[in-house]
Amino acid sequence: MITDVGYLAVIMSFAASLYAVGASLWGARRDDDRFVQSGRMAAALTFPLILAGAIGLWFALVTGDFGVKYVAQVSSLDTPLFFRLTALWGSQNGSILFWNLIMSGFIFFAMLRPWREDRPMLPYVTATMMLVLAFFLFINLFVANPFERFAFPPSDGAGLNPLLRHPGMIIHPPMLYAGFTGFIVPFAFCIASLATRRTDNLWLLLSRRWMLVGWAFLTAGLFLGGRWAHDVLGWGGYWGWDPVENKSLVPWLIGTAFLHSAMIQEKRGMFKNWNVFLMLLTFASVIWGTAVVRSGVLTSVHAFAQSDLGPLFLAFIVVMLVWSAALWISRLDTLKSDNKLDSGFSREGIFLLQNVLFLSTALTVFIGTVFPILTEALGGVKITVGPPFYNQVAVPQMAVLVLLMGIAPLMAWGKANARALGRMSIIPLALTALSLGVLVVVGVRQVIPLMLFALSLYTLYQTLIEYGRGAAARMKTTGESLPLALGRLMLRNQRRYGGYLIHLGVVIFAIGATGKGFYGVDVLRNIAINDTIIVGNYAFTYRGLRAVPCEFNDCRTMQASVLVTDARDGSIVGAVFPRRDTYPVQQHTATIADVTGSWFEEVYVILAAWEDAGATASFQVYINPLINLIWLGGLVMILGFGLAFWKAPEPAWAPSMQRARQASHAGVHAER
Amino acid sequence: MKPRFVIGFGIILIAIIAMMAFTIAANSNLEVRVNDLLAEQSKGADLSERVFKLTGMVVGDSIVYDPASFHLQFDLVNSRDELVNNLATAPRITVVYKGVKPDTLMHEAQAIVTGKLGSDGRFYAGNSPDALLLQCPTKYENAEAAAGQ
Repeated sequence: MITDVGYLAVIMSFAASLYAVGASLWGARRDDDRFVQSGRMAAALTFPLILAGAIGLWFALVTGDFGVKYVAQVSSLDTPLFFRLTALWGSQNGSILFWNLIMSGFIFFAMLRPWREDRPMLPYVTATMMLVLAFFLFINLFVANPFERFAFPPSDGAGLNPLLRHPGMIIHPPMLYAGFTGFIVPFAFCIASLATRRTDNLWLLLSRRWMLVGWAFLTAGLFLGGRWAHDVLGWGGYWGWDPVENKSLVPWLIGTAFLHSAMIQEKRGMFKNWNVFLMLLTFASVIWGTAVVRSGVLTSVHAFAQSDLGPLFLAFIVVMLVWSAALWISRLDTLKSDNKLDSGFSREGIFLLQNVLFLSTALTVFIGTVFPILTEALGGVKITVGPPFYNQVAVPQMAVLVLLMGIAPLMAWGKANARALGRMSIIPLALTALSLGVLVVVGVRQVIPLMLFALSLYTLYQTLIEYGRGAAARMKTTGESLPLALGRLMLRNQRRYGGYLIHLGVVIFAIGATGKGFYGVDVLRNIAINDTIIVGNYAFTYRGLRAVPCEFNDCRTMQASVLVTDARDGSIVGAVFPRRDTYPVQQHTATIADVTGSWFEEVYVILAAWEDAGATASFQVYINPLINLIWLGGLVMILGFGLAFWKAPEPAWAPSMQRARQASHAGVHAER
Repeated sequence: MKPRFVIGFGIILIAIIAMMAFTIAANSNLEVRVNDLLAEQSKGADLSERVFKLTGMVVGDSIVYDPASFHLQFDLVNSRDELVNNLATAPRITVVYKGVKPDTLMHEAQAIVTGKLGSDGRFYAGNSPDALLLQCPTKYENAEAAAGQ
C-alpha cells in the first residue's frame, strides 16, 4: 500500500516536471510571473514527491515485500535491516530512483534560493533542470521501473550482491551520484544565462559554489570507490582503468578544468566562450558517464547488467548537445573577451595550457573507454585498449599538470617575469634535488619514478613555501605568531588557500600513486601448513585454516591465520587473517583481504584457495608502499574544498555580486 | 587569440593524438569469439604476436587445475547453444592460465580471456589481474526467473 503510494508519487513527480517546463517557458514568453512562480513551485515539489517514492520502495525493502521484483532481486529474508536500506541503490532500477532523488534534492535547494535579483534567469533554470529530470523519471517509470510487481510473489528474494555489503559501497554511490547530479545546477545557470543573453560573469558567480559541491562529491566518490575496490575486490589495487571508473574521471577532469578557467573569467574577463563550452561539456560527460554504466554497452566487471537504455541515452545526449550548442552559437556575439591574452608566459597562459591538458587527458580517457564501441561501429570488430594505454598516454599528461600546479601560483597576471620566477624556484628546486638524493641513497633508482617523485616534490615544496611566504608577510606587518598568522592568512583568503590545500592533496596522492605503482610487489604462493615463504622483507608463516561464523546469515566463512615477521631480524610485524566468504544462494565468493605492515608500507594478504581441508593453501601477497598517501591525499583534497567553500554564502548585497548584477542589467538593456 | 597560441596548442594536441595512436597500435586487444579465432587460425595467419580478448563458454568437465603450480586449463566453445545442443562436435579452444582457479569458473560460465594463441593451438592467458574474467549471467537470470514463478 505505502509502496503503491510511493509509486503514485513518482508518477506525479514526472507530471510535475513536465508541467514545470511548460509553465516556466510560457511564463517567460508572456512575461507573466505567475506562471514562472508556478513552474518554480512544481519543480521544488518534485523532491518531496520522489522522496515519497523512495520511502515507498524502502518500505517494501524493509518489510520484505518480495512481490515487488526489485525487492526480490536485491534482498532476502536474511538481509539485515541496514543493507535493506542501502539496497535502494543495490541494482539498476532502484539506483535510478535514488539518482533522481539526489538530483531533485539539488533542484529543491536551487529553487528555494532567493531569486529576487536574478528573476529573469529563473524560468530557464527551471525548464533546463526539469527537462533533464523528466528524462530520468521517464526512464524510471517506463524502462527501468523499481516498482514493477510479480504476478505470483516468491517467498524469498535473491539477497543483496555480497560485493555491495561494504561501508565504502554504501557511501560511494550516493557520493558519486551527488557529484554527477550536482553539476545540473551550474549547467542550468549556464543555459539560462545564454537564453537571457546575460552572458557575463553573473552565471559563474551564481554557480561557483554549486560547482564546487558537485566537484567535491565527485572527488569523494572517486576516492571511496578506490577504497572499496581495494578492500573488497581482493586485487590489492585501487584503480584499474575500468570503464566504470573512467566514466567518473572524465567529468571530474573537465569539471576541474572549468573551476580553473572560471577564475580567469572572474579576474580578467577572458575565456568566456571557453567557460560556456567547458560547462556544456562537463554536463554532457556526466550524462555520457551515466549511460556507460547503465546501458551495458561496454564490457566491465562491475557494470550493471545488459539493458536497453543505450539508444535512449544516446538520443538524449545528442539532443542536449545539439540544442545547447545551437543556443551557444546564437549567443556568440555576447561572449566577447574583455582582455586579450598578451603573453603565453603569464598566469593566464599557464591556466590555458593547464585547461588544454585537462581536456586532452579527459579526451584520452574518453577515447580509451569508448574505443571498443568506435571500432565496432567503424570496422565491425571490437578492439579494447588496456591499462598500458592509459598509463602511457594519460599519466604523463597528469604529471605535467602536477608540475603546472607548482609553477602557476608564481606567475603574474598579464606578463610574468622570468627572473622573479627563477628566484622563487631556487629553494624548492634545491629541496627537490636534496630529496631526490635521499631517495637514490635509499634505493629508488628507476628513472620514471624518480621523475614523477621530482615533479610531485617540487610542487609540494613550492606550495608549502607559498603558505610560508604569506604567513611571513603577515607576521611582519601584524606581529602575529606563526600559527596565528597562518590561520588568519587562510581564513582571509579561503578560496586561494583552500585551492592550494587541494593542490597539496593532489601532490600527496601523486606521491602515493607513484610509490604503489612502481614499487608495489605482487606474488602468488602455495604454502603447506607451518611452512614459511619470504616476500620482500617479510616472512609469512601459514598457521592454519578454520571455519568462523560469517558476518551475514546467508554465508559461510573460512579464515586462514598467517604470521608475518620481518625477514631480516625475525621481529613480529603482525598476524593476518584473510578469509573467504561463500554465499550459496548467490553462488558468489567474496575474498576478504587482511592487512598489516606499517603506515608507509601496507602488507595485504589474500587467501586465494586451499586444498585438503587446509593442509596447503594459496596466498596472494601484495606489498603496497605509500598506498596510505593515496587515501590521505583524497582527505586533504576534501579538506581543501571545505576551506574554499566554507564561507557564509555571499549575500545579495555583497559588492562583487552587486557589481555583477548591475553590469548584467546594463548589458541586457544596452542589448535592447 | 593570437596565431602563435593556436599553433602552440595545435602542436600539443597533435602530439597527444600521435601518442594515443602509437600506444593503441601497441596495446590494443581484438575482441573475438571462439569460432572467429579458429577461422583465423585455419586460414594459416600468424597470430602468435597478436593479443586477443577471447570470449566463449566454459566446458565444465574440461577444467584441470593443479593448486601447487597454479596451472589451470579449460576448454571454451563458441556459444551457449553449442554447449547445450552439440557439445561433442563443437569446435573448442583450450585456454591455459597461470593463477588461482576462480570459484566462478564452472560449466556454462562465460569467460573473457586476454592472451595470445600459442603455436600448439592452445590459448595462453596473460598475467594481468583481468586476464581471466568470468560471468555467470545465466545462473543469475535462472535464479531470478525461478524466484518469480
